[in-house]
Amino acid sequence: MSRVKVLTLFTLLHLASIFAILPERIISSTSEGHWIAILILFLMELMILWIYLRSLKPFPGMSIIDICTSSIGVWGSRIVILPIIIFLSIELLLLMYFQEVEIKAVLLQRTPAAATLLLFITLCFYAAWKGLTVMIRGSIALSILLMPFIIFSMLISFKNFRLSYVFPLWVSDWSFWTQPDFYVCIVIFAGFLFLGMSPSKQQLKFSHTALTLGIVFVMAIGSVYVPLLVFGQETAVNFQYPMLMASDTIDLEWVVFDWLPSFYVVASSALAVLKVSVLLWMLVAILHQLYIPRLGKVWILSAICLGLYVISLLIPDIQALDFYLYLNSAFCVYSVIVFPMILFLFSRRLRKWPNQ
Amino acid sequence: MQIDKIKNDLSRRFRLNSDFVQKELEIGETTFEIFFFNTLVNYETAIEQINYDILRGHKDSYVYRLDFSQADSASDQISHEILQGKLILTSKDGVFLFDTLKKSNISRAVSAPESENPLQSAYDAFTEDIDVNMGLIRKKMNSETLTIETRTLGKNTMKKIAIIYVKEVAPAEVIDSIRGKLEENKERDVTTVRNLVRSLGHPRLAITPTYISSELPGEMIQNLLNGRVVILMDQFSFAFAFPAIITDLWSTTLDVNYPYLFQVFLRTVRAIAALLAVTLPGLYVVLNSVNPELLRIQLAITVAKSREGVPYPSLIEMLLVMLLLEMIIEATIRLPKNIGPTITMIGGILLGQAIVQAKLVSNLLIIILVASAIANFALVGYMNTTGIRMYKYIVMLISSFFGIWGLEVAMIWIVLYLSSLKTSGFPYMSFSVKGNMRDE
Repeated sequence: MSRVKVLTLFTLLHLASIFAILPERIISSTSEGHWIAILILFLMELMILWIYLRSLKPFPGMSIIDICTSSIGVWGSRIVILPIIIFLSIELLLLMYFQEVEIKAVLLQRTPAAATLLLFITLCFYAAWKGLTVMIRGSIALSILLMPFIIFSMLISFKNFRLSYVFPLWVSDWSFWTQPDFYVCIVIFAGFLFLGMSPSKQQLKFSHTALTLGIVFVMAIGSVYVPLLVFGQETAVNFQYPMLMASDTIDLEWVVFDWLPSFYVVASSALAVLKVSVLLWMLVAILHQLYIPRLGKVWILSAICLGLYVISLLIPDIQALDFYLYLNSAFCVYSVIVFPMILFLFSRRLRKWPNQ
Repeated sequence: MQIDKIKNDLSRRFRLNSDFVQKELEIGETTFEIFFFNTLVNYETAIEQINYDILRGHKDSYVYRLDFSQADSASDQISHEILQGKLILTSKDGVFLFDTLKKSNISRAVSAPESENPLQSAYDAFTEDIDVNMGLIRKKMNSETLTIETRTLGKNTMKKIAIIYVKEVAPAEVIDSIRGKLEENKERDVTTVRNLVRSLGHPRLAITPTYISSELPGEMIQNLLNGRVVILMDQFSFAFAFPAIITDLWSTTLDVNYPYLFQVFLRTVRAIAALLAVTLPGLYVVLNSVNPELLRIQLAITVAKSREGVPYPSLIEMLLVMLLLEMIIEATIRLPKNIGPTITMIGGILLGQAIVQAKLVSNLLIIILVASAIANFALVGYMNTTGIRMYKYIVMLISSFFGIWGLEVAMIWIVLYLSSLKTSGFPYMSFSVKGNMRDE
């Protein structure tokens, strides 16, 4: 598996979360110096990424599950990995539902949600069924198709920027630490988890990965500052989709399309499909390897997809999910921060006493 | 004893064929019985050569004695040789094979390509005779690393095929996979290209071709140098290069004869054409019936106006005209060159004028349709365009239900589908067959 393709998928997965939640959550968690909050998030991710890659490095061809099982046995790993399963399940549901709502609101007002969801989940089923290798291979083609939309929808509103909204640059009260919204943002880290699951013998270099993360960081800054510069903190904080609203403020003469936010929705929903597929694949792989090895992967996948579909149909509205969003941020913190550290300890132990 | 059995076997097998010859021949003191097909063997020259060889006791004789380790398969082996155009002699000393000079008047000479129009390249094309074709490749590439392996496939009809590759350039796993599959399926009859592809173990249903075909040796040389394995089939004037990858949609190997910047430009144009050919019809349906609000209002009104009076939904309108267009394309392909223009003209009048004036379809649709057809044929190779022509119907159907989101799903789906394809152990979604651009 070539590194470029893995890193492209890495970028796309991060962009998926950035487009989905970052701007609104960052804007509502702090009212000044947003870049500091983003920078702290990314420095944190950089550190954890280093730990994660470091713990995978001595064991080429082994996934995180293999490392866990050979270090503490099957039952131990089942317990350690259980929160990740919960995190993945809730995250899948949230991602899918939010995306569905966005598609319905912006693109398909008249189509019933059941049909749109069905298409969404069928596509994700297909992708997860084909496996991570296929998604990694397709990542370059997908990014060629999507990047123009992403860049375009981020940059078109520059005409309406008011640079004075950048200020204040520095945070005075550091209160964002106490905001639950800030911790919800940690979900963007989930984009690196798949690195430990890819069946690759060739290993990523930390320097390359860090560089890619740098690019993602620039995009993240952009995604928060675009709506901020257009509307200012006081207005932007009230929007559910600040990026969407920012791209709605423009009237470009030379584009044949009138409603530019649709570009944003097209880009973000495609990214969401990719992210859901990867998370779905991870969930199935973990369940199959650790919990129910007797059941075929396709059956697990079908059952999960069916479950997700039915539950999504039962959700009354988007407010009902807020509780789960905050609940999931706890599991998320475990999966993307605590778990890599545990893995690091396992990996060190395994290196010292490899025969245990 | 055994020789008598072989003789009886042979005459029983071939006795119904009027071109099968079995007769006695005296050379020197020995009486031989000879067997051959007079449509394949030039008898006079052959006898002259045999006389010369046997009487002079020539060292490099064309006559070999055949030794059979297993008596059972002897007549099978001999009849196979006879079908290949060899001459068999039997005497009481044993069975001999004469490797005749082939009858030359049933093979065509090397000529210019019939189905391809190369610009600025060599003009000789493959013919039906596999030996001539192998020679063409050898002549064009003087290299020690060029390897040609031949083998015969099939049980009822024997077919000689040649596997050609450049050592150290072609990926080992592709060569191994092709060799292995052919060994595994060597009993399977290979008479058509599809047989060959099935014998190589490629998927039965795929919307992209798993090979590139060409009748230009020059193009195949480039393919060989790019790390592909070329397969030649006897009595087939096309060569096949394996595996096909995504870039074959928009690049021909003859591009390398142009200056680099031209090549980049041409390939970009073709890549954009590939995208347009798939998306344009779907986009029309989307902007017309599902998401008209996406368009700028002036444009939306123009679009709506052009559909004024058209009695059915845009999907049906599109499908109708598409069918017509597909038929015109199909009709022009096989017609003789002197009737073809008539169809083009009739089609042009029908599609361009009459159908719009009759308010059966909208103006804009014709424009979209023609644009997508042109885009389609800007791609490289007829085989490649057919897959895309088929896929655009799926795009259209999904888009008519789900609008722009459906179009997007269809595009993601095709990317995933193409990424999951593998031919001869090689992923379709690679940018080059050789070197480190590959992915696993």
